[in-house]
Amino acid sequence: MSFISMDFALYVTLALVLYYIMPAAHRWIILLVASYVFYGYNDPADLGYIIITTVSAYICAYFIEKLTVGQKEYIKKRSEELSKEEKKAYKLAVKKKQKLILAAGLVLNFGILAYLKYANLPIAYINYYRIKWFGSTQMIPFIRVLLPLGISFYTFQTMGYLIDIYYGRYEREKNLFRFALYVSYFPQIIQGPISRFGQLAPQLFSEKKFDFYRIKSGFYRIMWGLFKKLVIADRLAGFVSSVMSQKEQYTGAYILLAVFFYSMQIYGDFSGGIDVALGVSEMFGIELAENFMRPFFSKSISEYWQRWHITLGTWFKDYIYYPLSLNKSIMKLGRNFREKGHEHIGKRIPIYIPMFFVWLLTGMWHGSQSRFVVWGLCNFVFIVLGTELEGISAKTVNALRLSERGLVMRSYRAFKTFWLMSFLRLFDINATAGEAFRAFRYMFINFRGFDIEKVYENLSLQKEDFIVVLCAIVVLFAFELIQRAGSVRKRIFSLPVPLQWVVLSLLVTAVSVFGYYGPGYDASSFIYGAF
Amino acid sequence: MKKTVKVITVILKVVLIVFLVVTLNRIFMPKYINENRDGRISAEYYPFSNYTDVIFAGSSTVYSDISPAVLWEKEGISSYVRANASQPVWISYYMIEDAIRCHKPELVCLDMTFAKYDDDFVEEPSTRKSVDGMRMSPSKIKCALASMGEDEKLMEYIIPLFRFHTRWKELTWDDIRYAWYFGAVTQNGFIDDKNIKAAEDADLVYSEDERRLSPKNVLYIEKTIKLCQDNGIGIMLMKTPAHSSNWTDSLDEDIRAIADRYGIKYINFDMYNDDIGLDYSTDTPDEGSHLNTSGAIKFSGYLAHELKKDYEITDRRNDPGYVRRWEKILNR
Repeated sequence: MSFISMDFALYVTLALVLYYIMPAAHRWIILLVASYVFYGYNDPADLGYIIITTVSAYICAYFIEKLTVGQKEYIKKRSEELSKEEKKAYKLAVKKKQKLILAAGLVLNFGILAYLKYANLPIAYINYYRIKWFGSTQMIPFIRVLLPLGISFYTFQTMGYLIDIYYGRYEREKNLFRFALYVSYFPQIIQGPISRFGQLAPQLFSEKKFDFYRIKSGFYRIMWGLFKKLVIADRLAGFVSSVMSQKEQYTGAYILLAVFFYSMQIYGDFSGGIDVALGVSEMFGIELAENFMRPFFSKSISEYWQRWHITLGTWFKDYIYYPLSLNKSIMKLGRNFREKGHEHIGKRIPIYIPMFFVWLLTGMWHGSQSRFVVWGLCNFVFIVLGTELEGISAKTVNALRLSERGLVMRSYRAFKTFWLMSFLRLFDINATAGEAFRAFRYMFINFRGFDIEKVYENLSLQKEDFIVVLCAIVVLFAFELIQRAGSVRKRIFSLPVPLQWVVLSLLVTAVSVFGYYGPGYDASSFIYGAF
Repeated sequence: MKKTVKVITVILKVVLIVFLVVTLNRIFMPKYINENRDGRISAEYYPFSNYTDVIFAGSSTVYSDISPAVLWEKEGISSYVRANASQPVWISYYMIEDAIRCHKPELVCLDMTFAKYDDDFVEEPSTRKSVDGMRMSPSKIKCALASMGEDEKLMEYIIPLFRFHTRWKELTWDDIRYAWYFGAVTQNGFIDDKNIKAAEDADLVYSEDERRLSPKNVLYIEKTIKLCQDNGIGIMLMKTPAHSSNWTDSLDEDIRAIADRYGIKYINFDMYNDDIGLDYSTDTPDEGSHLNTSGAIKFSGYLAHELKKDYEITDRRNDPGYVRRWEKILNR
């Protein structure tokens, strides 16, 4: 059931009605049933995977907590008999057991994810080199695996919970069914955001009164998400794929336009889907974490990644980056460099080594092909270069008598970051890293004239569509400019009622009339729904 | 006081939403004013519903061949044609169900021409023309469900904007002008065509295929008969005249068997060309597929006489209410 289908709208309406007529204490049961029905609707077989993740995490958390409780009781009972060393040794032994349980949970769940995502990768490589080196015509058949919907998202969310339980950050959820809801909560299951237990669970189970404001506010957010998805993203999809699939036929200007439009497409697609998820959740009285914060206004790549897919970034930061930077071997390595007089390198090592792994994993998370690894590592290189060249950049700005806070520098940095990130997306649009580099090359060596009529005639973007999409991008830009000063919805709700209705009417009309949906328009499914 | 204001605000909001959606629907739906006029037949029926004694339901041969004006003038029969291009029997059934909801006629004449197609017959543009004009009712919903193709969605029939929003690029001033147009462009469902294009063969020869009525056709023919009989309405099955070879004797046999089972009449008017006086060198605009105006006048006159002879249909020519209505229709 797609977020952009009428079926989904009816499903959410029905779930809302049932949710609010249910006594407040039991509403979470409706959410659990709605989440499982929603998830199983696509392919009932997918339920098996989510149940394995739920039950395995529940059991691991149970044993981890049991060991902690047992340890406390044991030490309490024998506090006078045991020496300090004995207590320490006992705690270490318990921690080791907990670590083993945690590792079992992580290996099982990330193992399933890795198998489903990457099982065919070694086969593809073996086949490739067998042909290349030995001229073999015999191919190893690929394994038939279908990636369950949103498996990356709920696996990351659940494993984050398990790690938090291991570190004693939360008390575990004792009710298996409540925990199942935390894992499967349907508005976020397809493409996130990746929620934290401490932020989501209390909201799922708290008793809330019906509040029409939340329904209204959620509806506005859903419509805005649909605007981004249907009016912008889906309208541009045909143009981008037409240019990239026949890039040899087009000059650099077309490729540049396609790169720009792809940035708009993926932003509209992903953030639009997140808006729908957050809007639906808001109607149930549950506020999910924001996943986007005007990323195209970022002034550096580091800042960009604090504003784009925020919950994935913070997940990697909390569960990969920090543990690695505090890893004894890495800290020791840094110390060694500092002791040998390489102060700068010594300081950078606990930052860059974890960061390297974070970007390697981020690349792998986005896809099993090598182009995603290259994409991730390019991000790493750009961030490192940005950090290392900060001094030179500051000197240049000073020499030019410009201010970092001035409009010129802020615009320049936002422009530069936007285009750097857009160029990196060539790895995303093209089927291989080689294709991506070729597209990048064409952009500059083949930069000849641009004929807009050619766009209208050959590239799935008629003149009227072109005008509509440019206007929609301007609206999106204006919206985000206003948003910098605070919530746009709050501003709308502070307007006189007739004006609120004008805004809503315009939004609904824009989506329903200019949206890319219905017969003859194959609305593309959410790009991030495939992760 | 506060509560009253709140209630009024909610009512106002609902009215505004409905108005917005209805307006957008009306702007974006095809208007069928200058071409494909059959697209307006469904909607034009309702103002006349209370004056309808005979309903003719079927496909394009019905709206081309039967002129209610001739029936009125000849025998005082007040009738309406609820037909559309390529309208299968199941749509005709729901058209009749919808009509009965408003007013019970004295007789229903169900045309069989499109019963020749199989169960999987779907032609979206034609379905839209039939269903979009129907007023919102359970019959409309059931009609859409029975007629939709695999790619179609019920919601697109409830809110046609979801289907026709892609017309935004081709909207013209006429789409605004006729958005709220309720005037008639047909004459009680009859669409005249004065063109002449003679049929190639003088003699009509049916195909020798052993084509049989499909289960869905049988189901809906029987449902129509039962619906009419349960409501005390006369029902007749007919095949309107057409000089076309894609009809078979086997279909006639099947339909006749159903008619006999229910004790009703089935007339294949192709068998009465000479009695009607049809001449397919002058009475057809498209080599015999349909009748032109001259053919329709001949056939309608004959039909009026046959209906009067076989069924008790009230002659309304002395009823002032009907006379006023018909004067308006005849003056169009």
